[in-house]
Amino acid sequence: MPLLAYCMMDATAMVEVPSAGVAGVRIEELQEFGLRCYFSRFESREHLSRIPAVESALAFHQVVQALFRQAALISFRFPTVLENQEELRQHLREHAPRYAKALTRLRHMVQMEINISMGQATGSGAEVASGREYLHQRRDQAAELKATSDKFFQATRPWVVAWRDRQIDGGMRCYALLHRDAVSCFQQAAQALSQSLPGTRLSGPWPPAEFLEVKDS
Amino acid sequence: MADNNLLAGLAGQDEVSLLDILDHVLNAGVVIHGSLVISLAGVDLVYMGLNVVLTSVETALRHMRLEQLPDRAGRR
Repeated sequence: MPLLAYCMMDATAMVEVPSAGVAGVRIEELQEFGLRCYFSRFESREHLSRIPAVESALAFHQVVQALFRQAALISFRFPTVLENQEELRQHLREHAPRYAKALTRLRHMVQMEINISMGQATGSGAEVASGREYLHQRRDQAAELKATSDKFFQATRPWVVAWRDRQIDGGMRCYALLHRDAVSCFQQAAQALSQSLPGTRLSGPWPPAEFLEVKDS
Repeated sequence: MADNNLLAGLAGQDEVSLLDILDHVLNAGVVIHGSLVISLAGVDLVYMGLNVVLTSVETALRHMRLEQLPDRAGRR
């Protein structure tokens, strides 16, 4: 029986589990290797594929966020569908040490994000006459995006444990790792700056998916 | 499309939009190898085999729009 995996957390975490998940299906758990995994079973993959994607994605998000408000977790990407519990167990067997280490390191952390849109934040979008002009425009846009990211970092620095940013299609995405109890302060500082910078948007708190791996920075 | 009650339940809790939510659930998190099918408005958009990471809804929609352009073939 195929299953849709939601997330995993430390097996010792005490949480209240939502009564139902995607398509109103009961949420079950698998506890192995010091981790607890949450999932829902479906009759078949076809059954799962017939459920409208946006509603399923929102229901998935609600389950993950409900659990994340109570404990640190690592989310699976939606839709992660496995053939059966054994396949999930096998995955945990292979990766449990890495997940356990990340969960310990990120136990009290959340991720906040700032989206910077190229068009509004950098004043781009003008037609260019040559390849040379285009490259110059790209260079200037990248510099402006980085400068905007740096402004947000400086404004929120007191609460930021780690900061990462990267260029995406149409702009830049900034990721801030912070303690759960610093969210409100971070939001106030970031919102105040965002209001003076068109094309920037704050979202979160999210599970710290961007910080699962340790990077030198 | 998205259930209004579902969206109402999300409002006011965290600072997120529908686009943020979709972007996150589709692009963030652990990927396990497997085959995925995603449908939107009853239409299967993407079928992926083993070891393939799901594309975002935005990307899928962009590809759909390109496919629907009537003079696409004529431009080649």
